[in-house]
Amino acid sequence: MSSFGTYIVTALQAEARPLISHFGLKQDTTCHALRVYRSDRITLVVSGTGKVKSAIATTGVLQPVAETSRAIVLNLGISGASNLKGDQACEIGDGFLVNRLFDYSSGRSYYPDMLARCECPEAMLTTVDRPLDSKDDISVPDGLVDMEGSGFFEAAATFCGPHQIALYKVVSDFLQVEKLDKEWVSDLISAHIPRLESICDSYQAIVHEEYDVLSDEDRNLLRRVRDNLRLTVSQFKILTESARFCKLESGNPLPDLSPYFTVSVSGKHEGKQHFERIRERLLAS
Amino acid sequence: MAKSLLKRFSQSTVVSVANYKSIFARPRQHFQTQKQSSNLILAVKKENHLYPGSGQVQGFGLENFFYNTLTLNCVYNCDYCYLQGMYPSANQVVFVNSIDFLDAARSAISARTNKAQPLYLCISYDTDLLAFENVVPYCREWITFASEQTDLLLEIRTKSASYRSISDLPVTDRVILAWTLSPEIVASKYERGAPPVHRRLESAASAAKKGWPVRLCFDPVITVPDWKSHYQKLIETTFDAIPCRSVRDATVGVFRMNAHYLDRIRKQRQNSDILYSRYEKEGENVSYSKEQRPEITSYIRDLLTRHLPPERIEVWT
Repeated sequence: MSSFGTYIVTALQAEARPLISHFGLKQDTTCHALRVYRSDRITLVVSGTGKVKSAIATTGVLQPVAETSRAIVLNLGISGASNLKGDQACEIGDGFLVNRLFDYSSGRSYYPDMLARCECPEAMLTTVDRPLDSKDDISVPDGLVDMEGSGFFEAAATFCGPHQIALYKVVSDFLQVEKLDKEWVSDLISAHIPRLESICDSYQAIVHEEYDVLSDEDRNLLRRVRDNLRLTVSQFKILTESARFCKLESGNPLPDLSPYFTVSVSGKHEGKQHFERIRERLLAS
Repeated sequence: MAKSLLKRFSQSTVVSVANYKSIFARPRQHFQTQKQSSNLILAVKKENHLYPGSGQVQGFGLENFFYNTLTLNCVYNCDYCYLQGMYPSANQVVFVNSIDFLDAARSAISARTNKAQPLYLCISYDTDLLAFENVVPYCREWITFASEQTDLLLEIRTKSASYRSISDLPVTDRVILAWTLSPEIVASKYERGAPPVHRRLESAASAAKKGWPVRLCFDPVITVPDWKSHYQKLIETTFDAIPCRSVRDATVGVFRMNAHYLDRIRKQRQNSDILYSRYEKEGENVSYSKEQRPEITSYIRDLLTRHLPPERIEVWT
């Protein structure tokens, strides 16, 4: 699985355990308020039960991320199921990607983009505030039922676009409130790891689609120029745009900027003079 | 309409949405990402079934100039398209309450200010309806409607080669079929998904041969390297394919775009030179410089006047 910037939020430790083991995640002991596990490319947080906790945990792991445009955020967990019929008829252990979320208490709906090309059944998810039993006098729309989805989505959507957010739910019950065996929950999730990897790959492919003429290498070069010349944020923005003009207009690679990685700069004024020189050169290309 | 579309796409997953804006207007959507796999949204438009025409489009001196939006977005993905900056989403919205749009048109015909002129209504203004005709047969519905109205002139603008989908309809002089034409070099580089120009010309020629009023739109003119010879060749090829007597009129316009839309597009994509040319900002719009614009349009107009009288050529500068 290629997983640049994959953020996974689970409610329960039992849901997280098979993922921690499969991806070789290590607990981040610098995080005290949240239970966070990481590898170089995956961050997993165990939020606890309920939409507020899920929103807090999601925010907690995404807030420190400087660049979220290539992140994918996934809520993974078990859910109840009510009245799924036809193509969506399901059994315990079936997994679904969520195409619509409905927050039962607020009445609000949320829609992740379903752009990823992965063979996976879809379903609607209703998020409720307390465990829901089929004997209760509450009716929810047909589909899946959990206690985290809407909180997770609202938080994730603060940082990411709807094409970067996915919810994958594994059916654990048909709305019978009972204490679930932790091992059993882990086994349910564990069986879905191959599909989860395929989903992550598909979402990663989407967020890594390139819409910029500047390559990663170009951006690194420009950052080196910025650091050496001590350019301001605004100057760096102008430099980057000039580089784009240069590449798009000329159809050629960027000119050699390497002298500006090392040129000695004694102050901001001198940096600005070099900046103007580079800009003129880029726009004259 | 909704029922027939649901039947047609019976294999697709249907997600019910209370209001189309709750999915179309979500924040942080990525237009080009969605364009790779856009969804079809069926919706009801509750108001604004007609808008007054904008100054960005040629009105041929017709005062009662309106347009409507039967669908939002376009099946094509032209690099220079302002829809990328105008709409937050690339999903294709189809308004299924066509009866409300027809009623609005009827009312506007009655209420038009200049009774000496018909109501001039562009129905494929922010979209390409003919390209989508095999999914949503709105051109057919509106052509039939126009045939029954005495004071209506419709324009259906397209880059498609889909004339065949309406070729069985009786010709009416109340509908102008307008084809946007670009040199092959422009079409292949910037008009993603649109048919090559020779196929558009075949389609336009078939319509003209049957007697439809055909409009040729050289808009937007884009100054690719050696643009003069490319446009000269395009115009020659066009009038080789379509006799000038069969052409109702032609429009010419240089590339222009609302500056705010261009800014929004540049934030999401930085991979097309057409979005990064050295444009000049004038008022709310960006375009080629004040000096370039008349030169471009004069050149194209001169080429066109070899085939059409000047009064049948409308130029936007």
